[in-house]
Amino acid sequence: MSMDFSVSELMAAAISRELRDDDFAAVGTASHIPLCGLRLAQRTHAPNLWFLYGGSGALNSKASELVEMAADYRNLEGAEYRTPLADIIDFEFTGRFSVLFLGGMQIDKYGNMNMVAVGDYAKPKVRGPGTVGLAFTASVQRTFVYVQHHDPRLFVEKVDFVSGRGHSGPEEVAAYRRPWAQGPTYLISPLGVFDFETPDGAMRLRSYHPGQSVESVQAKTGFKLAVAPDVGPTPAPTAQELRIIREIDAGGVLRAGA
Amino acid sequence: MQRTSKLKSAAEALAHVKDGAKIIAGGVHLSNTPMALVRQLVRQGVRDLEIVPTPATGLWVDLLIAARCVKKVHVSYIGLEFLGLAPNFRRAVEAGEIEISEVDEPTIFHGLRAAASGLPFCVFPPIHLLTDLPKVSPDVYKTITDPFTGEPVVAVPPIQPDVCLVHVAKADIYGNGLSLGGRHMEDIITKASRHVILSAEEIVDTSEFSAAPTQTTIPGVLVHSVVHAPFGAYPGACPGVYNYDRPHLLEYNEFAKSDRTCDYLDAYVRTRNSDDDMIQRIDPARLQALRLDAR
Repeated sequence: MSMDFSVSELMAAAISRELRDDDFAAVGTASHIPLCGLRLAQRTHAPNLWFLYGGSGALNSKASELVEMAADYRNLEGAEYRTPLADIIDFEFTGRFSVLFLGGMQIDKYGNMNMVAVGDYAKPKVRGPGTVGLAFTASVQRTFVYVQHHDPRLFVEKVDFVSGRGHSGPEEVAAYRRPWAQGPTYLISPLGVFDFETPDGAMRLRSYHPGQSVESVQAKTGFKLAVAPDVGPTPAPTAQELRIIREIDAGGVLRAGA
Repeated sequence: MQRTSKLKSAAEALAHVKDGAKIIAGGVHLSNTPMALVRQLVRQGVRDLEIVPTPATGLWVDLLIAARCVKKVHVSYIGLEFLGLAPNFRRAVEAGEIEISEVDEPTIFHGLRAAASGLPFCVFPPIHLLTDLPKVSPDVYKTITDPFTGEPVVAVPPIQPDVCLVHVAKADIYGNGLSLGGRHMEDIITKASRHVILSAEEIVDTSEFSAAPTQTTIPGVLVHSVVHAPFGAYPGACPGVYNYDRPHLLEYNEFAKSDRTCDYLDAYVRTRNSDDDMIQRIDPARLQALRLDAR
């Protein structure tokens, strides 16, 4: 199957369409694809969208190259404000961020995310970097989960440590999640697009990327996936979207599939 | 009477750091981390440090763990950003060699905020009750009742470091500092800590600060020592002055992943009398190419 775009470019376009004109989004480390999605949205249907680019503190970064570190101060190029960490944490607690991009080293059926440890916490098989801002999935409006891989070691039946809470334990979630917070509402991986629109908030396949199918995505997932009734291929980027993505990504990082 | 200069050598300034000290360093990820001061801690052979990292960092913690300087780490995010997991941190935790206080970004930030403001503790809405953090850190997360609403809330304790290390682009001899990367949380960590050591790329006259006081990012009143440290954030970046040295970071990561960080420390840190000495051994053309004024 021949495509004139990469899966990364497809993902950026898919993310862009999920964003709204009145969103205030935040994205963290290793996030070229969501970054491109945010900037594409600003240049198409969401000119009033604001976004924070990770540790650089940049609001509305227009950096001329995609650098490998979100915390790189070069991301301040073209930005309108350098956000101190105090502001970022205030925005996270109060739900001013309408969208927060998060990820994990394990993600389970209900969108719970683990960044701490694989295996027994006291004697981990893999020690992760830590929880950072994942608890804020209970206080920002919508959590978009973004991962760069998709395999049964990442998508597990139950995470070994809950850093960020998804939709399991609905009574606890109702008691402790902030009233405006919806938890994980969207997940994108290199294989497909998912939501949590099931009665029990379990992860559901909404569309699969080129070369994939319901069966192939299920085979790479460590739990039984729900499937949307209208599941189908992830819509390809339009010519206009692709042109803008390649202006943002002049160095071709996404095109190379990074 | 003369105003007293705070300018010292790194060794003089860091003589203040005792074994077992609770220590914090400024910066975010690989930007503005006071690496020259951290390397001097390795040279001095300080032991049993309790590390309070800013909420997203890693290289300096990984280096101190490899140098056997560390007893305990407060963890929000310890990693090498685009290079992935921090190898020495990961190995030490998996082997049970260091103590961990398992926390996150707001817990460290507001713990420092509490210390900076003299508050007995900070209180959060109960979002942490949806995570496993209170289960593994019951000494940090205490569920209490909001006296105004009767709802459950979570209290976290203050964090007061003994020593705070911060790197900036410019400082004067009285401790005023200017970060060209803007404010991240240096204002809070300097207020939270008992003793502050500032390193700077360049020592400038106080008139530079008084000409533009709204630009000063660290007021000298909070600072105890000033150290002149050109390339003091190397191999990380100093915003507005130089970028990070990618090949050197990759080299570090290779040493660290193969558990040979001691060889790295011998080559670049322990066998050098001072950080000037270390920086002088890096290829000058490569260093110059990292500088923004070289472009």
